Amino acid sequence: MENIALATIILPMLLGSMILAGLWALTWLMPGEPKSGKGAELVAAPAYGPDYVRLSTKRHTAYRTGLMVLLGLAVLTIVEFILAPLNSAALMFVIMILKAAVIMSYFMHMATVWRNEEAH
Amino acid sequence: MSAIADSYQDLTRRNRMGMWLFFLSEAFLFGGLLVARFFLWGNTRPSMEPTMIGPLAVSYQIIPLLITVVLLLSSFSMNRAETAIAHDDRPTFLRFTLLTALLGTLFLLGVLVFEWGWRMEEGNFVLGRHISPTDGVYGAVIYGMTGMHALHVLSGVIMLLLLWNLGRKGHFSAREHWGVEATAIYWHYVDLVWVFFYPAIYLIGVGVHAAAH
Repeated sequence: MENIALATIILPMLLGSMILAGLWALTWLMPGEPKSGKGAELVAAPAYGPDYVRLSTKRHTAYRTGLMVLLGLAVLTIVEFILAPLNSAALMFVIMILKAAVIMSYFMHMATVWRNEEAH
Repeated sequence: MSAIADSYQDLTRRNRMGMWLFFLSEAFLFGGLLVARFFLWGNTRPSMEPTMIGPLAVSYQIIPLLITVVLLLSSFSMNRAETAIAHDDRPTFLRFTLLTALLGTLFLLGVLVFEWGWRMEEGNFVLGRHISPTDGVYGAVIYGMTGMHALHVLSGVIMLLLLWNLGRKGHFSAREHWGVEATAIYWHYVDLVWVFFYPAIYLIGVGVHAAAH
């Protein structure tokens, strides 16, 4: 009985909290606005044609956000795969919902549905 | 800001709302399949034989993990394409749109060839490497869920190719790229559905033997 409680309630809650903390750290690492100061200006991107524009700091930040989200999703997928033998549906659902929330907020720009201005 | 720009923004806002309502209706379809899985399988899942890739016997759980990674990468690639056009970076947009279509096709091949085991035998298409659609509730649910999802991936790949072709001809800009945004969020929605389907089919529950006939 104790094992069931451990596998279905305590472990998912513990792991869910850890993942939430990790995601919070991830969002902290992903600045919405470009950093100021030394090193803020980026070097020119390689030229692919005459109309190719230089990478702006804002665009670089947007690219970096996408990469960080990918890393977060990859980590969650690996955690999901490794923890599957625990046979805890609750734990799997916690990870599924976290992944879904990340995809909806960062990739699908859910917040823009209620906003007037452009998202990017 | 011009009146035309204002109206385009208003239109985009309404389009976004419409798109999310479409996703809501799709959620009932995929949600129904997910409920069917939990109702029919309970706390079990089919445990299948390893996949033979040449001389190597690969655990049946590895292939779904690999195709999941491919879909995840395609979502990242789509996001980069969308971000690129939003910043008027057309070459990157075109490159990553094509890459996304390629990864989507790879995902489809992974499902059709390795998961479904679709192959030619004596001039006929044969289905069922691990499990066939007629293998009771396990076969029916697996093919129902993966089939409906694969159909959405296929339509997404077609949309991506159309998008790439339009982008190649000079359509879309940082200011006006609703077509790109709509395709991108549709693609991410397909990924979102797989986020729920993958563990539901391959990870949750106790493995029970359900081999193909």
